[in-house]
Amino acid sequence: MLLEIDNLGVTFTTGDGEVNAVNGVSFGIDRQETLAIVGESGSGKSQTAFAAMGLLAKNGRATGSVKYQGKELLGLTPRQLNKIRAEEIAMIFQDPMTSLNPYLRVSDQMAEVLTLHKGLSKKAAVDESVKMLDAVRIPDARNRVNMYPHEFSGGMRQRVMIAMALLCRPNLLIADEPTTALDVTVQAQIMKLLGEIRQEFGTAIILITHDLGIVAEFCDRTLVMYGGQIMEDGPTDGLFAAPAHPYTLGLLSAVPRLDRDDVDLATIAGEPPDMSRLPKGCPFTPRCAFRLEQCPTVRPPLDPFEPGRRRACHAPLEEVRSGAPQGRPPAKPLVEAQP
Amino acid sequence: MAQVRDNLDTQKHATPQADIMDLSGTDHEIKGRSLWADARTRFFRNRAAVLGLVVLILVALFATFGGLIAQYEPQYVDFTLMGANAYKGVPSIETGHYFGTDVDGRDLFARTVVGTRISLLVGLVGALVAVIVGTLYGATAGYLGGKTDQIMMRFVDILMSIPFMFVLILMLVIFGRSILMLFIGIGLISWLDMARIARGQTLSIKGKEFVEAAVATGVSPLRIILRHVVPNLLGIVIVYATLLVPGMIIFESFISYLGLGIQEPMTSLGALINGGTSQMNNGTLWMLLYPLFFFLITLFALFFVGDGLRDALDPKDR
Amino acid sequence: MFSYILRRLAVAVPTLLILVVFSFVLMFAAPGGPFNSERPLPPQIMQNIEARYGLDQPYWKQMVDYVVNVVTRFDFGPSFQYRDRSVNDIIRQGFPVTLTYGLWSALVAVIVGVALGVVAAIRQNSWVDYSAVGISIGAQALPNFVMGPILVLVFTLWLGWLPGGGWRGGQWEYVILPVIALSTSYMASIARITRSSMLEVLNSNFIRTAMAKGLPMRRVILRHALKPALLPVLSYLGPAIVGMITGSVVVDVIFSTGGIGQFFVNSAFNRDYAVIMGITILVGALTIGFNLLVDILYAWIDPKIRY
Repeated sequence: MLLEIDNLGVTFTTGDGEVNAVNGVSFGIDRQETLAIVGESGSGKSQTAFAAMGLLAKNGRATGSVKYQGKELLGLTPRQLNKIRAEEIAMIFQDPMTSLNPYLRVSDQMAEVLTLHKGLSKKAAVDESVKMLDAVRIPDARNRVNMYPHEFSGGMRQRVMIAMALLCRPNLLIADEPTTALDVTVQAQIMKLLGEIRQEFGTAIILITHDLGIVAEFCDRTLVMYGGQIMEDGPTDGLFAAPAHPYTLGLLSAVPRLDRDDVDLATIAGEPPDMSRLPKGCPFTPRCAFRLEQCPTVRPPLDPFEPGRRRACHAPLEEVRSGAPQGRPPAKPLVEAQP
Repeated sequence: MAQVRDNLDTQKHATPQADIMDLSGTDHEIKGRSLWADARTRFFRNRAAVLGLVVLILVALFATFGGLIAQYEPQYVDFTLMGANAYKGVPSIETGHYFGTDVDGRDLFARTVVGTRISLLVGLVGALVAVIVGTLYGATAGYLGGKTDQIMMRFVDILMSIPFMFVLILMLVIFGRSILMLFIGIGLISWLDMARIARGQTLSIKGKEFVEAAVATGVSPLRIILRHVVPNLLGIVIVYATLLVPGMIIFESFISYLGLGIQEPMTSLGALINGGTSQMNNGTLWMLLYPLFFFLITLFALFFVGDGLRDALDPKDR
Repeated sequence: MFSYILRRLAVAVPTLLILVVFSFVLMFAAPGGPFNSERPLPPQIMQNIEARYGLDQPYWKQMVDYVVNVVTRFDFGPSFQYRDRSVNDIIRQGFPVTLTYGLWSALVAVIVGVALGVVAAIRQNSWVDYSAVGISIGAQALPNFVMGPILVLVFTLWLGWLPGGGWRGGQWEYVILPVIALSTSYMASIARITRSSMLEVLNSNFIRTAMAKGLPMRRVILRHALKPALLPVLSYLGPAIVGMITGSVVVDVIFSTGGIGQFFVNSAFNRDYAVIMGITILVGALTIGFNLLVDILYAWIDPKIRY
């Protein structure tokens, strides 16, 4: 295992009390593997990645264990952590417009990674940066490296971010919604680029996204998160072909498909959960049509049920696979009373 | 202050959120909280702000009714103390000079009441001019936009880059020193900051749907500014008016400290502080400390109330 | 960049001219004219004035003469109070004093204020932060005319460490108290502005990127966060400089430094219009000049501003 996360929890202390953004999340990723973490906003998928990188906001706290090549990352000193960042694990972010420093030239922002981590001279570092910009297909990189970020388009900026992340040839790249802020055509280009990079550099990639279309094409394995917990995971093909959790079921039926002529696009009824007041049991309970008596109070364990696949659900597997509750009416979504 | 807040409550239906809440308010369990009620809750949860408000009310009471408690008229010179201020003019309950006397043997309590009154008045006038002129000017510039906006704001920039204190002193020298002149001078500058703030806020309101709806139904620009833009500026205007008041008070005290502002026999806190400073060497520190105390608690109270209002009303910080 | 400076100048120069003309008009708008106030001027001074202004000339001609003299030769004419001194003599005597402690004050306010603000932001919600915020709130309510007397009271009358006034050619012990009195409230404001803008910058996405790159915190702060965090401070410097120049009047009076502020207040009491006007225009030129400098600095730091 390249990265192994065990029973990770992330808690934020806010003015309204403690918020548990991530609850007991466990998974791993192998060398050169691509793993998708899927979930709607607020499901804890980004915070999981931030916790692994030690990038949580000041009021956030991580518990559990994050091991990189067997080495525990949680609790490292900033100095030790800085050796891991960029050199071993790099990260790119959702909004390329604001993720580059607008007050520094691209050359300075890229070169400092190499001068700092690899001890290169400024000139050698800039040369290396230009090579990397070429590698991510930025035209005229030699000249454009001296520009400021605002002189690049959104897609080009994300390419700069990717080039910058790859400078030290990290073993793992965490991409946090890398295409969300971009146009559809540019999205496709960036995903193609990430695919090529995996081929070329052998980098393992964790792709955090809510775009299921991207996942199907790109990732070996998929992990579905809801309310800060893992609902199910497994190889992408299997998971898409035969979802084993009501939430995944809902997610997939909410994706528009050209090969079926449904008139209406299904939606998942109800509201995303309030992270500061999660039910003790399964967080999806209020919106779940398969809801059982123990769901609100007993948290379902994330149990393997097929080779390489796990799911956390009380409802029988066959019932979920069949698409609707058997022998009982589907439960109506619970609307929470306003405070 | 309390009156201002009552006015705000009657304004709550000017906010779109409040209207939506009313429409959906069929369920009596869900009670719509207006923005203002929300802000009030937040304000009263802020202990420093509430303390500031209490102090401010006490200072205002002191300035208004303090004269009733004073044993002497502010102008009356106590000749029994002549030349012996250092030991006979000390603050004491028995002589009736609660805060002692000033260097001329006048009752410092009565004079501090007058001085505080003037300072509060200056702050109030400055804030009033700022609110009326500044808001209308800024809202107009922001709403009309384009060249008009550019010229109007350039004019504000130019006025702001002039050292106004010097120009005002020049005016005081030329037209004679009077309270009126001082108020005119303070009125001239107090609205500049407010105009900028109101303009910025107007620009963001301008893009909102309810303004576009009004434009689409053919409401005149003046009416839109007065009915739709200004009421929605209120929150931020109140916050910055409160934050401007201490600046105005400092401004007046500065001029009066130099002896160029409020003239004898009237007085202001600045003039009293100056009087106390000049006697510092003579062991009559009370002449400095009492006016200074009232000056400082007034400023602090205003700062805390202003900060509290900002946290409660300015959505930017949330 | 060059054309940007030119365009800013195109606004600054007319502003200054308007100030000059405005002061002149004010002076002649004075009830009874500037020269026949209730107190008759000594004949010698009257002669000076007549020779200089040509009082038999129409007003507009006098004004044009005055403006031309100010603009081309920086000559503000004779004083109305001292028979043997011109306004220029007075400025030459007082200005270096004010400038000396003024520049020191600006330096102290910016350096200490920024340092305090940055430390408070990095150590948010620690005791350093709370005391920095406390100090800066306290200092904001202490304008220079309050700071001055308090400083004299503590350091001169009680402790006897420093002289409470005078200048002595700018020996350091005479400079310290004026500098503290003038800089404190601005230092406090700068600290507050730096703290809040630094906090905002530290929460921005590009700082997270810098952290993800494995840069040491020190480098993240100094190289990535400081520049954008200082932009609001820079915009505050314009008004702060106006405030400091204004404040120097009170500091000059409290500490009897012999700076131009003292002459200014003196002239205000003696209705010496020439000196008041001269100093007002000089100060106007200074503030407009500094504002121009701040604008240029801003454009230079922020690459997003198109010249």
